[in-house]
Amino acid sequence: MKKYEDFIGGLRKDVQVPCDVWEKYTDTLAQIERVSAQRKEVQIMKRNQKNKSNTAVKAAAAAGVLVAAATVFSFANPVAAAKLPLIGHIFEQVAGDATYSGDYKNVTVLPDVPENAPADANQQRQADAAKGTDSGVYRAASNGVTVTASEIYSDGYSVYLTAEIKSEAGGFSHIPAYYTRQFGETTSQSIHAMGTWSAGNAANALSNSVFEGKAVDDHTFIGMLKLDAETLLTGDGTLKLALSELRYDSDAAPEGEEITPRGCIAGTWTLDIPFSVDGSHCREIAVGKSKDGYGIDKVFVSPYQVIVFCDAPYTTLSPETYTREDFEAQWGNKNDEIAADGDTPVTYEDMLAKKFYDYFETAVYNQDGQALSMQYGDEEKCVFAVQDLPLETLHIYLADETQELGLIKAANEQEAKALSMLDAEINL
Amino acid sequence: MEHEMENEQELIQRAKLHDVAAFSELMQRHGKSLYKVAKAILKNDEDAADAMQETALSCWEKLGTLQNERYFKTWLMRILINHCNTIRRKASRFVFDALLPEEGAEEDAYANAEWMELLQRLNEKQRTVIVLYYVEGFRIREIAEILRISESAVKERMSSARKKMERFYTQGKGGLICEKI
Repeated sequence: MKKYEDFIGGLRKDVQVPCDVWEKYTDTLAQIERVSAQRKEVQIMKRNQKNKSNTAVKAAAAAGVLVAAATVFSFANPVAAAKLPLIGHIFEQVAGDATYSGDYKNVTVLPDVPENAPADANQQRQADAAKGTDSGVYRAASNGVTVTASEIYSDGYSVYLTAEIKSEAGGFSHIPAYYTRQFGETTSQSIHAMGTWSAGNAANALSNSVFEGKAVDDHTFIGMLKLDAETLLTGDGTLKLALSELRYDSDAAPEGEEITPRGCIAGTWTLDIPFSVDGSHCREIAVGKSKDGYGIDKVFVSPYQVIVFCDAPYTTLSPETYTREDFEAQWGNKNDEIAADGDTPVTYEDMLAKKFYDYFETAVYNQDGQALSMQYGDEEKCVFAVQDLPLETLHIYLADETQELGLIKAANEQEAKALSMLDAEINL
Repeated sequence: MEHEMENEQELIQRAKLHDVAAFSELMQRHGKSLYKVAKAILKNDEDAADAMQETALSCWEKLGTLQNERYFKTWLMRILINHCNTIRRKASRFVFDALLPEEGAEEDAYANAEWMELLQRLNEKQRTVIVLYYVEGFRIREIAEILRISESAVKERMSSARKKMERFYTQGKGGLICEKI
């Protein structure tokens, strides 16, 4: 077996379920009513215990104002934006079809690149340093590909950057388009960005980061990149972007084979781009509602995204059930590799401190009962794309693990409400 | 196939009314799929059996919330993957996803197949999309819905998996190869 295709062929072989696994499964099916009833009894007992332990938390939450307008950011830097000449209108061209669509009228447009500027921003910076000037060229070239930053915007929780990507080799016109809406036919093409970024904090690896946009021609792609900050950004900052790979798919793949990668361009593109957080159209609103360990803490609303900050019950590992020997068996060799890569190894204490949260889901509807598109979530927050929906009032619903799937599949707001265990209404 | 689909929709409708026989038949039809996906994520039969059992229970309790019966299998797989994740945590085998240690192949007959050994070289995220796509026949968009990630993220994981497999073939160790264009 020397080819990937053989591997896939092997995967597709008919697999027999082992007898003991099948017996356990069919036994459960045969007794499904009884087993389900027993499980419900256990869940009720657990919930009662949880209610007792959470009394103090609930009392504290109840003491707060349920819905209170809190913080309006105002870190706009219109002066800086106004004095910069235009180089492009990439937001204008791609934002209508992008996942985080909207009117990016408050973006900072980066200065145009002079015709005689060196291709690489590093050379330009060296030239600037020698002359004691700042030409404001945000362009980097490597391996036949030039990345030129065009516009930048930050609402405090995310940084949105547009860029033009030019490739000498071409191939961008074969990048397939993907749907960017839950309903409807709006699509965008995308180029995955690998590398690291920071904005006044520690560098983060780019994770699931894409320039979402369109191929202007076979050699030119324009797109916007959304980077989510782990901590709230304020004031002026510098986006330090260090790209190491650009990857994209191709619709020129053979029929039935959807995954053939067309391009993966390795290189070094380093861009340091100043920006100012502009919260002039953003609001952060305290909510403070909780029940049974779940909570809706606050909501952040910008023209492009709504972030619901949540709480959920969690458990941790204990030294009794997860010993140092377990940790060594699990992480010993891997930590050696991590250390060899120059990264910080995982410690036993890290694992004991890690919180394992119960599952939950949230849904957000506007005043007209239109659902906002959920993009991603973790144990602390859920992020929704506004996608040009009018937002006057938000209705937020949270369902625990018993109803989370129903909430996702809810056909309308009434169903979502019926399935939720906690809800909040926010007037904007 | 069409008759089978109609028959399945009828089974789902009856199961929604808590017809045990219909539910049992429905779940037995999907039992092999559940096993293959659970095994790919959890790597051992005991945990896979637990995940299947929990999935059957959740499905029994929540089937009434399923709006469109055509999406039953997608819905079922999402329940299974949630339970697989829970089992990984509870069994203290949870690790940070990006740094998942790669275990050696297991000694049972199933895992001794070379392709299964190779599958174990991938991380859990890659294994899941590979099995859902190639073994279970889900489309990219359906996998995105099951895993609640973007279509491009699904394809990225599949591309990464492919590259990693190619590197195993050509160099005999993990990691990514980057094609120069």
